[in-house]
Amino acid sequence: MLVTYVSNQHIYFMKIKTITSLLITLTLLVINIGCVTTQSTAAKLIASTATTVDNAMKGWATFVVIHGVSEADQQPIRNAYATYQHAMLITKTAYSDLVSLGDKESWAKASTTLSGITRSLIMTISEQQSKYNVVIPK
Amino acid sequence: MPITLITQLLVSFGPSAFNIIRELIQIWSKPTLTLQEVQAFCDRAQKSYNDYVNEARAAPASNLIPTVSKLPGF
Repeated sequence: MLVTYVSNQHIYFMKIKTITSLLITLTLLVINIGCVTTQSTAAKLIASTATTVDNAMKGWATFVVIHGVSEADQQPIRNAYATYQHAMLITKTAYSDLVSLGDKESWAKASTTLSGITRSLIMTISEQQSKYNVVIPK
Repeated sequence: MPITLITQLLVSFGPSAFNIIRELIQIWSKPTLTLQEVQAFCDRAQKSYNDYVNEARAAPASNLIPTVSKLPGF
């Protein structure tokens, strides 16, 4: 199956757009697991979110290069990613407070915000990708 | 993680899917993560938008297209 897939590389370009929907599923899975908040689960929730977004951004950047996405179409992702960066910074502090002070309230608030912003970022990537219809040469 | 989702990722994402799956498995299979490890994950968010795009631009064309040789075990 993989050899067939590789021999038809154009499929990759089309299916790159499905990455984001799969990432949404992954994120929701992680968030659902994260609902049971222990310190260990909190740590894994942050790590999983960071990993998912890192890979989503790598995928988006590749998409930008391959399809020559305009600056205007990149702007919503820039904004959403900047919001995510800020939320991650707050979550990092909240996690430290959870570990050192047992501050569950700040953690709950920060992690909920981060989850929402992450979903928003991934949805924005998906929306921008959908503007580019990829033609597959035969 | 459902096996169908993993299969979808492999077909849709190519070799990059292995990175996500491998990293998530590593994360969730560890009993605990240290504070330093968590902070290192948080610090990934310090990478700028332009860094991602510049890295993609700098990548050889062959890196943008999956090939069998990049798959683990090939």
